[in-house]
Amino acid sequence: MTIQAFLDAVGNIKSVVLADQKSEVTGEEFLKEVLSASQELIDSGFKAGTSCLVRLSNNVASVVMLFSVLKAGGVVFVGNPHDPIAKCDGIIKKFGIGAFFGDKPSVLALQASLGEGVRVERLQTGKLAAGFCPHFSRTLANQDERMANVNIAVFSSGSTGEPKAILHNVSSVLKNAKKHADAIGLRSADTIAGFLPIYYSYGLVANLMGSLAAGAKFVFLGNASGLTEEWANEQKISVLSLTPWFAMQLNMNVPSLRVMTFGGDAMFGHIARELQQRFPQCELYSTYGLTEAGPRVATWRFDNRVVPDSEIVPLGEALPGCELIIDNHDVEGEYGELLVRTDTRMLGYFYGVEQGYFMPDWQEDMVHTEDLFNVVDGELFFVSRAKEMIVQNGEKIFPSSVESVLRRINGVVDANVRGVRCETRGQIAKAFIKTSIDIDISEVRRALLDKLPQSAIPSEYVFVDEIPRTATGKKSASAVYQ
Amino acid sequence: MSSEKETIEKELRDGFKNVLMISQIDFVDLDDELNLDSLTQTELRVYLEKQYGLAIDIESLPPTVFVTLESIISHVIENKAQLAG
Repeated sequence: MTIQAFLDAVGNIKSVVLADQKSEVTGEEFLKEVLSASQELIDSGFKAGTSCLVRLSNNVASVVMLFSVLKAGGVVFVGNPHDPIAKCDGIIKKFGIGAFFGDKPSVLALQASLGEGVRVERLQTGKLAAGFCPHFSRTLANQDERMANVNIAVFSSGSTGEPKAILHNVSSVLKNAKKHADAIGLRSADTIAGFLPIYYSYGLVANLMGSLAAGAKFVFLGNASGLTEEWANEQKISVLSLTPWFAMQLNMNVPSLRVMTFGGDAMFGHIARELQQRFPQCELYSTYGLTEAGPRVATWRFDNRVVPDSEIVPLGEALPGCELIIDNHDVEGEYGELLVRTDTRMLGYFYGVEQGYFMPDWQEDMVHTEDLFNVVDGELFFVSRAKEMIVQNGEKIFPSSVESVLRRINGVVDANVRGVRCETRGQIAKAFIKTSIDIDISEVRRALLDKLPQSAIPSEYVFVDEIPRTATGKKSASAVYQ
Repeated sequence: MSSEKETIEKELRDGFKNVLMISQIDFVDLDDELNLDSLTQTELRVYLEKQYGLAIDIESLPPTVFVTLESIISHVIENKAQLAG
């Protein structure tokens, strides 16, 4: 589906499709605003193919800005609105960005940071602005012809902390959004909570674009307020997407709620059973995806069914157009890397003007997930991120399995298991544990030994005040424990 | 603008810039939305506690307080007065 066809479809919707605390727009009004803003851009001299850093906040104006840049032919690099100005300055120079968009103070601060030659224009109500820096601009197509079809890029810091852009064509992204909407049965009568940040691929594609594809109403939760029962009931929310960790913080009664989806982190069996108890009226879906795949890949529906007696729930069914393959079985044949064949695969990675474009040597339409799965009775079960697997004394330890047991110990609120270097023993597993009551380490070890072999339990234990998590509730890979 | 409000505004802008490392604060008007993420809101609460001696219970804090610079200034003035009283 092209961006034009998508906008035309949304433009035919007479009901409200987007709302926040200050405004709401029908599909018709949304299209009108996007066309007007994109024309405004073109009139100001904006050139198609320009790489644009778009700082996406969770509000209606940001969505209009995003689609107007795409409509004007810009290549959108999805920006985190909370990134410091110095980081954005670096991104603009590293990735050859020719224009940047965001709230007015950020754009003015970036103008000051980048120095002379940057022109700023106010957009829409004057709360958003655009900055043009043609002297930094390097279009993707001119750098490498394999990037000629790219028009949306999502940053990933990966394991190095250095940002790289995961490149997509917007038609493929919109296709993935539609598949997700169909897989969880979104309806035009639904009201979807805009809770997850839209600068992440799941929030942007599955949540926001999925909602627009279904013709539903997408309501942004304001930045300053938490997700409350009062707000959800006031808005008559019927669809809510969360990480499993966030879901466990909720215990609310919202009669209009009919669908909940969970993703971004492993869904443990005991959490799935708890969610069945808390939300008996809802369709419950555990979802799996990664930005490289479009992002959505598979869905496992678990309401009204027995959750298997496993640490982590099954991967579930592949979306139409996706195929799930387990490859590189280890010598015991117990697990292997999940490969995904999908028609919404990324177009490659872009490491910046100097380091350039890179596409891994994967088969056509294939994505290597670097996630390890095993197969039990025909179902795929997540074992570990390949990079997170710990080899302690020659034995493999999978952090997710250990964390699952830790979290079920009475008084344990949260846990994170990591591999750390030990002077004498090489790599060892270390458990960081947050508790609500005093617990002795011997109790923790006893509970682990009750469920896991001796070789699979961590060597060291540290009690901490907090397990750092990202804005969506995922464990923070870069977290530093005090 | 009262001098107290001006003083607090200046102190807050300094805090945003030098403690919370939000350099765009120089370009934020009093009624602009700050769009703070949850981590920055926590850091701001700690800063206000240290700077003004305000004990801020995040659970009971009205969600509108951290929306604009104006609303934070009003909150500080109001709660400083309560502390003094």
